[in-house]
Amino acid sequence: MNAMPTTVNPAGAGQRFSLPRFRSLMARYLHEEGRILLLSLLLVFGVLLSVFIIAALETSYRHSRPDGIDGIWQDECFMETVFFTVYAAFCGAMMFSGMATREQRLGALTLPASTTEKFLVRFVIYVPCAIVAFLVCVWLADMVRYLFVITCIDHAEGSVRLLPIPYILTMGNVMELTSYTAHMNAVGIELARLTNAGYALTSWSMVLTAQAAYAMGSLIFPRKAIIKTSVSIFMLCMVLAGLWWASSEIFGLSDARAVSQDPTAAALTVRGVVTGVVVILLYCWSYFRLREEEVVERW
Amino acid sequence: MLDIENLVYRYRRKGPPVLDGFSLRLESGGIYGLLGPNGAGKSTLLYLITGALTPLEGRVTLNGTDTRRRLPATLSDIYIVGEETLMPRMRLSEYVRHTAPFYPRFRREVMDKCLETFGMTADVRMNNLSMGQKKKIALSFALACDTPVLLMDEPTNGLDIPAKAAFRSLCAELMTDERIIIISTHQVRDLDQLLDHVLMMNDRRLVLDRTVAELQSKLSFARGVSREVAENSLAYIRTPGGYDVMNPATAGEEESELNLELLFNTTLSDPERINKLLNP
Repeated sequence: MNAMPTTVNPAGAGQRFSLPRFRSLMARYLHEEGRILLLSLLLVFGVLLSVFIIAALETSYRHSRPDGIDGIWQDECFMETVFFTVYAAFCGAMMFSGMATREQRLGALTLPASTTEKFLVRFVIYVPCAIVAFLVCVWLADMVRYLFVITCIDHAEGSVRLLPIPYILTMGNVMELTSYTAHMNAVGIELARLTNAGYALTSWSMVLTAQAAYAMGSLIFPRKAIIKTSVSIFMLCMVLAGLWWASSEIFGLSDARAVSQDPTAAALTVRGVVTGVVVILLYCWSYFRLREEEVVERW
Repeated sequence: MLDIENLVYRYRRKGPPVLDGFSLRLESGGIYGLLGPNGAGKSTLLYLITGALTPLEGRVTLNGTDTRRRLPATLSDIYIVGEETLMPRMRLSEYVRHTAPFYPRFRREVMDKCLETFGMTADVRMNNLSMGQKKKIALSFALACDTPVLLMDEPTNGLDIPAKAAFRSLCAELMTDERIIIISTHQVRDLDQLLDHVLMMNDRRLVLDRTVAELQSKLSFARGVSREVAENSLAYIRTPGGYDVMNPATAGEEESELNLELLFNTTLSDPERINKLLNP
């Protein structure tokens, strides 16, 4: 057997958070779940690559566009948004999937680390790391698509281009891709800029909220978390839509809906803050749910 | 010292309580056998001790700290081997490397010794083992952690006969005055030579809490006696070799070997009678 590392759990160490313990917990978790994480990333990359290659085969690369845009970018960014949201939901659902059975919960709850550390390890892996990993997958898949087009499609050299990183980060909600700036005045350009920012915000809100909601769902529904959370979210959306419609009818807000939908910087800030608060609240709720988690399902 | 104070626990809000006003104090240096019929709450009690369940009332404290707070320092003092052993997808040597640092008193030489006694090596993939092999690994790791409180739920389930004997000898050898070992089991015959304290649960409460020495001094057991002798005894059960009987010990009588199965059956059917006999 290999030499045993020094203990990370002396009696005097911080009971809420200790960096050596966090590091050990992270190493243990990655070692245990690393293979599944890697396989799921490979699967994501494979799906993205297949979709990008199919889209490339459908795209005409005979004539280069004067605006310097590759004709596939819009499709790629649309697919990125869809897959990113689905992927984020799966990541959220996987966050506590290792606590589905009684034995798994017993192992997780009695491991000598604090709830904060147990939560943070999963959070770091399934939220920021997962997001970065997905964006890298998109970038790599696009690079392979670029190489494929260059080598396999004739006369494509002048029109094929790599998807720029800002396009990946905003999921395609950029001026060059969605607006014809050459024909716009200053007011129009500002409006287009805010509209794109609004769409980018919506895309990111979908991703982050789905991730947080499914993470919460994986704690509430230890088994079949994805299905049960999806049904719950659908029902919640139906109830909220019903309430919105009813309140519009009752309080005569129908006219208010007809008011200009043009975005303003303030409205976007409010939307961003609201999304941020909802996401943070969902993760806080997950943390407290984990703290109260028990070895036996009482639901 | 492990203190269980007035525990109340139920699985459903309106369901019957599994434990109702359950109190117990366990001193270090004892191997406690936790016996009871199915559904008596033995596993629930073990989970409550580890802090993996939250009591509706009461609390469990280890050296004054509430175990439900799940503080890392308290968790590193308690190890539980569940009835079913779930193994991660890694080699045992890797598992030890990644998990042992969380237990400050872990001793690798003990782990090696336990594995050797059970006929196992550290070079195995944990998820590819049979149920008995998984149990051997779980017990080896648990014993090597050297925690002041070691809880085992049906530890001999799935073990072959030599492994049961090996388990008994390892427990006896690794027991110290600073340690509390609680073994919840139905397999009383596997462990009756190992225990030095008997706890019996039934009907949401503790019906017997005695040391083996006390039981042996106040009760006398005999095996393979005739039917006439059995019918005149305090309690008896029929066995292939005749009748096993239990009687109050008489003055000057030599201590007999504890028959846990007979004691268990008699205590469950009439706990008051046994307790009166033990507390005249």
